[in-house]
Formats: sequence, structure tokens, C-alpha cells
Amino acid sequence: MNSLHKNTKKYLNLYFQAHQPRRLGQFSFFDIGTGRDYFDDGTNQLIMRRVAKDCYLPTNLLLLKLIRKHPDIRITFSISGIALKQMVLFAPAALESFQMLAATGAVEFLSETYYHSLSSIFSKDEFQAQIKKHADYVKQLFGTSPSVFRNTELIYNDEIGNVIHELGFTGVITDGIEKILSERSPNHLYKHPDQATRIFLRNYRLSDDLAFRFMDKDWTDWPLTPAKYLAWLEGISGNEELITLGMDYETFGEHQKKETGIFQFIETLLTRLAKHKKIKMMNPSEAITMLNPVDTITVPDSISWADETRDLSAWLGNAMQQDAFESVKKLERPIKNIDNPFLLNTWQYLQTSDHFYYMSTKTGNDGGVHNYFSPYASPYAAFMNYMNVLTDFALLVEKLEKEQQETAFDFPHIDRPEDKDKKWHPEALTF
Amino acid sequence: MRNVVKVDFWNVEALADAMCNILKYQSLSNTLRNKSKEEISTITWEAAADKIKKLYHELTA
Repeated sequence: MNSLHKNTKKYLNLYFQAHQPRRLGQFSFFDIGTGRDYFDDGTNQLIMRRVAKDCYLPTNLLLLKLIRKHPDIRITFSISGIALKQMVLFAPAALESFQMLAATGAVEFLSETYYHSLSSIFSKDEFQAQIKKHADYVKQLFGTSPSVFRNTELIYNDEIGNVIHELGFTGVITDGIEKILSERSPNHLYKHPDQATRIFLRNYRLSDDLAFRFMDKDWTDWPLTPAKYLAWLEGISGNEELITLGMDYETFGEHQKKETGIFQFIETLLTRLAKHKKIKMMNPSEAITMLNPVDTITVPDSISWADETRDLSAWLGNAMQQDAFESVKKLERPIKNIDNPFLLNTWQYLQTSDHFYYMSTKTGNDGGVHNYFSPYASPYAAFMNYMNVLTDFALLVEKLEKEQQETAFDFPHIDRPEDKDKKWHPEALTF
Repeated sequence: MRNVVKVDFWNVEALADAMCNILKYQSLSNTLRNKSKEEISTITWEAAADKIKKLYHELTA
């Protein structure tokens, strides 16, 4: 299979992932069974407002200005449902700025799971339900339906590709790591071995140059200038036609503060790219119609973009993480039997990958990144807090399941828990 | 040490909470046991002496 376009033009997809978890509040062993709230939405509100002020708003306004000036700029966003929900509740101006970007027509929104969860590796039903919930929310907020999928932290394997195909998505983005490429370049469009689904591979070196190394003064290429970066893009071999760059949107102003010069960097880079004769910015759905896949990519075991191993070990690498994951997993059947939207929603919030990420006991560079994101003093504190919440939740589920069985047997009407005791989780009214 | 549960010495409730957690969750107690064992093997008089020697050299350089 060859590319349709035999000229030397390159296409560049730049995607940004925006995500904020719904963090848990402190929940001790002695809080189990007390009905205390699980989530610290006061802190979540503060963090969302800070990130909106430092990152989402200034970066979106910069992109709006640049797109109006240079209509050829193309930007892709992947925003988790729980980040969108927190914007709706705590930072509506940030949401409006994303909506303004959506209205330019130069921006594409990707699909993902609403809860930024690990559901793809434990339940097909749950995975599909969370993707649908996210797609509905994106449609409601931005008036557009995503056609390309990007899983939590780029987790991907062939089976996930099958599910994505079944749901009607035309493409998927994952990480362009050596073990799946076997000597091939990430700078092409690939396809699933059995489905028509197109696979975009993130060029992790060029992406991480911006996302991680930009502010690293010990890096041999520091300081990174737009001219230097552009020269690297231009230096990519002529037949490599599609460069996918992906990073946290919080790279701009949150992970790398404005004092590092990251905003000036992206402004100059995008301006030069917009005028570039040989590099054209392109969103994924357009790339799928423009380019043919050069080969198939087979991914038998799960990969991701996290940590040096780029597998699932960032979330499931130790016995505590596996225990926590198994414990939340096994609630699926009772939760779905009870059929209570509040319980389902709480359970889904407890599947967010961040909870497991905080429990990692990795050290070195990986450990440093885990610590940077974690609100806990240690992985042990993260595990204890999560497990106490989950134990409390499991008791509630067990109680309601029992009640439902008894009530269903005796009476035709089933009482809903929220009618009985509203003090349990008042935030259910909002989240 | 990193592979431990740290609490304020005077906070009896936090201490009780940590103890109950370690007793309740086996994966936690196992991980703590294994990881702290690994970590303890790196804590030696030689390492402490090297640290102090390095400090003296830095201060007197």
C-alpha cells in the first residue's frame, strides 16, 4: 500500500489532551460506613480554576487569535468527560473558549472514555458505554460527533481496535513505540490488521521534546527554539508523510509555566507552520480521507504512552494497584444489577486511571512524574485512601443489592436509595 | 525511608488509622514488607559514613 500523494509534502497532526480527575477527599479507615462524601470537590474546583486561568484560557485565546489570522492552522483536542464536566461546573469561561475554538472549524475533538478510565482492559460493555457517554457530551457541548478515538493514556491493543471499529470510529491514536513498529517509522498512517480502522502513531520523541524537555536546562538541546524544532520536522525523511504530535494540553502554562517561554514558542511555531510550504497541519479525520495506510500495525499486548516501559505498569505495576483494580472491577455485576444511576456514576468515577497512577511505587524518572501528579504524600497513602472509599462504596452496594432483592421479592415498587437518604452524596445533583 | 506509612507521632487517630489499614489490606502490608526490606538493605553504616564524608568535603572545599 502506498500513499496517495507522491509529492514531498508532510502532514502534521497536533493533538492536545486535556484532563482533570475528580480527586477524592481524605477518607480514613474510621470513615468507612459513616456516609461521608468521597470527593473533594472544593479542591477540584480550586485546581480546575487554576488550570483554566494558567492554561486553558490563555492557550485557547492564543489559538483563537492564531486561527483567525492563519486559517490553515489545525488543532485536535481530546478532553475527558470529567474535565468537561468540571469546566461546566467550575470554569465556564474555559468551556466557552473551547466552544469558540470549535466554531472556527479548524479544531477537531477526539473520542475517549468519559471517565478517563481503564475500562478498555476489563469490560467491553463498560468501555463502550463510557465512550458513548463521552461522545454524547461532546455533541451536546460542541455540536460535533468525534470520528477518531484516543484511549486513556493511549492504551491500545488489537482487541481495543476491534471494539473501536465496532463503534464506527474510523481511526485511533496510540503511541509510536519501537516494539510495535519493528524498525518502521511512526511517521505514517497505519491500519488495524483485521479492520479498516486507521492507526495514528504519536511521534513520542518530538512530542516529549515539547512536553517534557522544553524546560530541562540539562538537556543538550536546551533552549529549544521554534527554528530548531521546525528544522527537526523538516529533517524527517521525504517519504514519511504524517507526523503525529500529542501531549497534555496542560503543558502550556501548567506543567511548564509561562515564564519558560512556552507560549511564545507555540505561537511562533504555529505561525511558521501555517505559512510552511512543505508541512501542512491536518486533523485526523481529514488525514484519513487524504492518506492511505502504508502497512498494518499489530499490537497483541497492551501498550500506552506512560512511563519508560509504555505498558500498563503505570497503573497496574504493583500488588496494591492490582488489588485496587480487581476490587473496583468486581463491583460491575452488582452495580449493573441494582440499576441506580447514582451508584453507577460513583463507580465510574472510581475507575479513573489517576487513582491507580498515584499508587505506583516506581522510582527514578518514572517515579518523579508519578509524584508530580499525585496529591498524596506516598503511594501507600493513595492506596489506603482509595481502598477505604471503595470499601465504603462496596458496603453500600451490598446493602442496596440486598434491599433491592428483598423489596423486589415483596413489593412491585423498588425504593431508590437517593429517596431514602439524600445526605449520602449531595454532589450527585451536580456531577 | 520511602516505603513506610508516615504519621505525626502525636496523632493517635492517624496512627490507629494506619495500623488498621495495614491490617486490613494484605496487598498493602505485603508491598510494605517487600519494598521496605529492599530499602533497608541500602541503609548501611558505610552509606551513612560516605554521606558525612561527602558533606565534610563540600564544607571544607
